[in-house]
Amino acid sequence: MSRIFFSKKTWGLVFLAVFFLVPGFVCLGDTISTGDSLSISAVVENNGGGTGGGGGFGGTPTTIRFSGLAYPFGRVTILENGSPAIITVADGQAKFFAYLANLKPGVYVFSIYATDSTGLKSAVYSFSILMKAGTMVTVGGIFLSPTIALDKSEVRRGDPVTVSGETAPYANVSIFFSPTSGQTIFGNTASLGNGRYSFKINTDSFAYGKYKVNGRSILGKSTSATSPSVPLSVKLSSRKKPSGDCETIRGDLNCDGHVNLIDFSIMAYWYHKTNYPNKVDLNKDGRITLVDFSILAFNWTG
Amino acid sequence: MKNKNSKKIFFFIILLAFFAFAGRVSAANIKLVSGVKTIGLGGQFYIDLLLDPEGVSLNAIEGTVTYPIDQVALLRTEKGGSMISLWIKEPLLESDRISFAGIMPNGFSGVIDPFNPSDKLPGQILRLVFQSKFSGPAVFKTDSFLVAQNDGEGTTENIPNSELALTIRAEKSSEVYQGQKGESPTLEAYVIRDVNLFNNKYALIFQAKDNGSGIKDVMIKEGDRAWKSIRSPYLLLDQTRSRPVSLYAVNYSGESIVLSINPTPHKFFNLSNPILYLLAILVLVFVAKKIYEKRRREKNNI
Repeated sequence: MSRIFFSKKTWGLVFLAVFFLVPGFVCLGDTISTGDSLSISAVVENNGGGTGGGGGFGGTPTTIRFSGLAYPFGRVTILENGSPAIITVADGQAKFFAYLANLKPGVYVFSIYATDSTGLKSAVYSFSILMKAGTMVTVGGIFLSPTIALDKSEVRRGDPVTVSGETAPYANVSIFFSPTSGQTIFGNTASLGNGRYSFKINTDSFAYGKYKVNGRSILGKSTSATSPSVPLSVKLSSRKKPSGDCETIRGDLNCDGHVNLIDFSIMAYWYHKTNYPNKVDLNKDGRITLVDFSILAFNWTG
Repeated sequence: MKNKNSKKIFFFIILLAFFAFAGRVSAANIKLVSGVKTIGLGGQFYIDLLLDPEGVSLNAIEGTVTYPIDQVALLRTEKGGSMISLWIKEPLLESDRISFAGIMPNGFSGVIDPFNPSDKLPGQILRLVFQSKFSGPAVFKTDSFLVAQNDGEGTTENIPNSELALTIRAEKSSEVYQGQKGESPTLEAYVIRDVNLFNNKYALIFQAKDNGSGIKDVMIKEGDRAWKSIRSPYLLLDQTRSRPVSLYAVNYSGESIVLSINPTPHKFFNLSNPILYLLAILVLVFVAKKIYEKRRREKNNI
């Protein structure tokens, strides 16, 4: 009979593997975060005063407050159940604050994203929250992701590629080039006082193939959410990023710069049908399925 | 010795694979939950279909619920408190099966209770309202559930089936389901033209929302035509857009909303039409000429 017990060293290895791998896999798919500084708190505002209005408990309205960092003078959009509810502008330090009052008790889905001075959008942070009557909920420490753009969609190996975007002022920005297989290459830069950053990297050390490029900012002890990914191909020749290409937002089927009810309706019309327009099949698998809707829902801007 | 090492490596790989796999399949689950365990004959009751994403952000779902058609009658499906905000396929009853598909824009990773933010709660997908017909055990089952992760790639995952068993007692019951209470319905609608939809013809897209009992019906009236029930997207019969369109949404509580969409002015009278400006210039020239000729005649007479 063969032994099933191993040396202490082997068990140590097994323990380490379990310890490090399990949490990693359990978090699989939880790709959107607001960084590590997010805080959610609630207080019952049962003081009998309040400003009246619906949904109150003891006369106090049910309210949710949002605060965090975007980009200097960046436009911050807050969606309530998928539809725009508030659009506010961050101050020169990239700080934003907004609130929604007089909410009816119930479950709400809030999504937050920012648009920079060039029209690029951050990753969307979304959460579902139970709003109880007469409570004041504070969602603070939101650190929205940097925006990100490349000067080329295809780069000749050895040529430089420039990554740029906006984030909070004087933040450290890490840029990650993740190939389909192999090791991620990364670099660091810092944003200026106006929140803009630019990072130029030579692609000598890059292997041929496709990469996903994204970034993350660190300011003090706060880390932002990860930016949306932009594709880059390292090839034998370079190609500038096509301008005015509405496909930079996957799911923007009518090319209006938003992914919303209109795009959803177009896709819903073609659900499980044939002869659909090419651009509706977002994952190019020859069918309009739940996967295409999932990609559209991921990129939802309202 | 070599053989012993190979066994260790093999065991190690199996262990890693197990945890990697376990991490993936434990992502989400579906539950059928009822407020009652037994119900008298003729009594009304509901069953909630709940989605627990187990912390993973999900943004699309499709599936089927089956029920014992001989023992219970489905009165209605309520979508008011659903985490699904856009339905790809509205809950459809076919024999003993209710199938549906929908999306949760920007993802759903569980409902946050702000008083206990670390524990996320499952979210309601559907509420099924039944009335019992015959006594005995009644088993309700989920079938073929598929969810997609909010990862931008639409990674899909099958969810294990679940079931709920209730007992229908022989004695009569007069329990009547009261329905979820919420706000009055809201209606958002657009008339659009897009090459990807109905061959660029005028189409109406809309979203009716109600966070209480849910939307029962949406109807349209185009010009003098009769009211009729529709689904979005809808190809407008009046492609000239010369008649007003009225849209009516009603929830299960009987509350309703009407939205009117004005016709578009005739193309000829559109201010962007250059012919209109040309005609205006011609009229002005004609009038000026007449005035000039009149004055000349008057001068000659003098």
